[in-house]
Amino acid sequence: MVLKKLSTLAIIGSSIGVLASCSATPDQVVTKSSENAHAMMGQLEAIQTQEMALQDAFEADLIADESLANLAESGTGATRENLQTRQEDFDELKSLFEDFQGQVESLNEFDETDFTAGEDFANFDASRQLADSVNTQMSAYIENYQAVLEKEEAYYTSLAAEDSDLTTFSDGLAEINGNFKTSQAALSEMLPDLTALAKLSQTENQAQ
Amino acid sequence: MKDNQSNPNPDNKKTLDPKNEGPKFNWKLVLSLLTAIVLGLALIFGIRTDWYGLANENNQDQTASNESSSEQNAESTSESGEASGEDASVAATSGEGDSAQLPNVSTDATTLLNQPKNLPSKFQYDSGYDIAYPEDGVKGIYLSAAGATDQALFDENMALLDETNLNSVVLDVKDDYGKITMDLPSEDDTVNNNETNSIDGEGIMQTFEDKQIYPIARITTFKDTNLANADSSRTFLTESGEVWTNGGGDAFLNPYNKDNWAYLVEVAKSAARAGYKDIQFDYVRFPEGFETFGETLTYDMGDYAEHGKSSTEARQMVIADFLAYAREELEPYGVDVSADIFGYVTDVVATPGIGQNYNMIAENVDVISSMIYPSHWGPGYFGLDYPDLYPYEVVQAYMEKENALNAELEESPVSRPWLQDFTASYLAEGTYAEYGAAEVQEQIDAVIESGANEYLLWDASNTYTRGVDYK
Repeated sequence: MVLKKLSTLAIIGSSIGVLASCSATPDQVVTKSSENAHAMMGQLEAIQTQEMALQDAFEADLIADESLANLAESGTGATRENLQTRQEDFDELKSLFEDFQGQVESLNEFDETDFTAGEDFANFDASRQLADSVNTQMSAYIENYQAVLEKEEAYYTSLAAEDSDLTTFSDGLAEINGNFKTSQAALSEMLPDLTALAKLSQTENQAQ
Repeated sequence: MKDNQSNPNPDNKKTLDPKNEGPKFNWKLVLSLLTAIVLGLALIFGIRTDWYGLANENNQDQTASNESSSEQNAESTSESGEASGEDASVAATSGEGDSAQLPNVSTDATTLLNQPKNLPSKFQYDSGYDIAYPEDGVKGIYLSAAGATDQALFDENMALLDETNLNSVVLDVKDDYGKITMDLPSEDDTVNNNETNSIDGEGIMQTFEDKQIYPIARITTFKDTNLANADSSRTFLTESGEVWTNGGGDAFLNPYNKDNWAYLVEVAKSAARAGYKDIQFDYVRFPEGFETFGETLTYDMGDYAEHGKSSTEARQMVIADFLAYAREELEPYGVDVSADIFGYVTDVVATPGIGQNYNMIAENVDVISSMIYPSHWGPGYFGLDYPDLYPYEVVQAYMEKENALNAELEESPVSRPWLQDFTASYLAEGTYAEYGAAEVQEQIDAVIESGANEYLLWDASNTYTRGVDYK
């Protein structure tokens, strides 16, 4: 009987311990979201590195052969490789953003009762609002950039089609640049908040 | 055998019965529980003291991301100089305060793909008119819509081209008021709304092809009274909100307005579709004297706003940028892009008001047509009391300056100056000459002797001098 009671107490104790350990503090969630913002900036940088290399890749594929096989759906030219790499970088960005959204949800579960001093809550709330903004803005950016990638995919395929002509070429180019302009506008709106959020963890690390 | 294995000896039953063993301490269970408690406590302690946990996991992500970024930076640095240059601007964009360790993200790029330099043949426009570039260089005359539609005058000029080395026509496609003189193949409403259809575009192009006359489309660029009055958002407004006009009643489109760029380039593309082989932008500039009154006008500087209305540099940049944009957009049409500039631009290089800078324009066009009419130089210019009296000397002096500038360019444009085939009777008596075969010849001789082999003749009334050796 004593043994049974001991076992029960131990199981209850362990459960409480595990549950307690799973609930992070507000500071920890802010730090985590800040670090995630930093990681998302890393992915944006990776995407932009590829974007800068795209023009050369595209021009090379255009003159490689008249059939434009490199640009076809099954093509393996530099343009397709660039698109694939950006898609992977973008998928990683989306994955980071999903984590980030979870963190924003966690941040929104805290209220003043979780803090001992009013100032602490005010600081936390400022960070939370920053994260909220990034959440909204990144969501818009991701939606827009996905459209850019999809247009590109369709454009390269259409160029390689036998019946493509100058209209196909020019209209598609204009459409891609139009979508890109929209996604850049979303990026412009987001970047200041994203940078500010990413800096939070840096400041903390420097303070330590 | 199998049965024996599944049914152990019944004699063992008694020894395995727990009831016969009595209470027994289960060390394994106790050890497991104690381990669980210790692990639980360690977990709590770890989380609270940041030993590990959430932050750790992300630090690893971040490290991986930074490594990836470093690799990408290294890659981009090893790429072309152009890419490295862009990287530099990227670093500057996010380089605020203590952000040195942050990834570099830029918002500078406005396009993902630009017009490629070389296009496969299937993406190049074919107007259907096969007219070759003149082997001996372009030697042309100007025709207005009036000159092209006056059948007798037109026939006379075609005969002149048949009988001499003249081989090109510069035709008004968009005239000095902004009217488009013929029906152009375009679906753009603004283009279609401004067409007058006074010239039979297809008929005249067929004549040009039959005679192998090299067709140049003159497009009056920013001087466009017609459109400025129709849409005041495209132009400069006075303090009272009226469309600004110069002393001659001419209004100008705002060169900073990208909608104007798009419209003008659509006119140019339409001309290329109609068969023209060269797009000549005239009035590709701000109004004269803009540096003296431009700040009082109301207009949007768009992407150039940071420079301010007083900026000479901004005016020069926007003119050069427009030409670069036009040239890039016209690439698939296989046409040359030429620009008309004031002759004195070559002398002063950078003009304060009109935004023409020789070097900046030269980098963005195929051909420069400088208007070097002797009558257009003030008294004393080039050391000549009244330049209109010295056609050879004026052209010679000018060409020396242009050649010197071109020699310093990596890739210089074709020189195709405008020469004078009219008499400037509006000048004071004694300061101008009657222009005839001798004066036209002197100008042409000076051009050829300078090493150039192209020129254009201007006469607003389209009556050109015979008896000249159009070499």
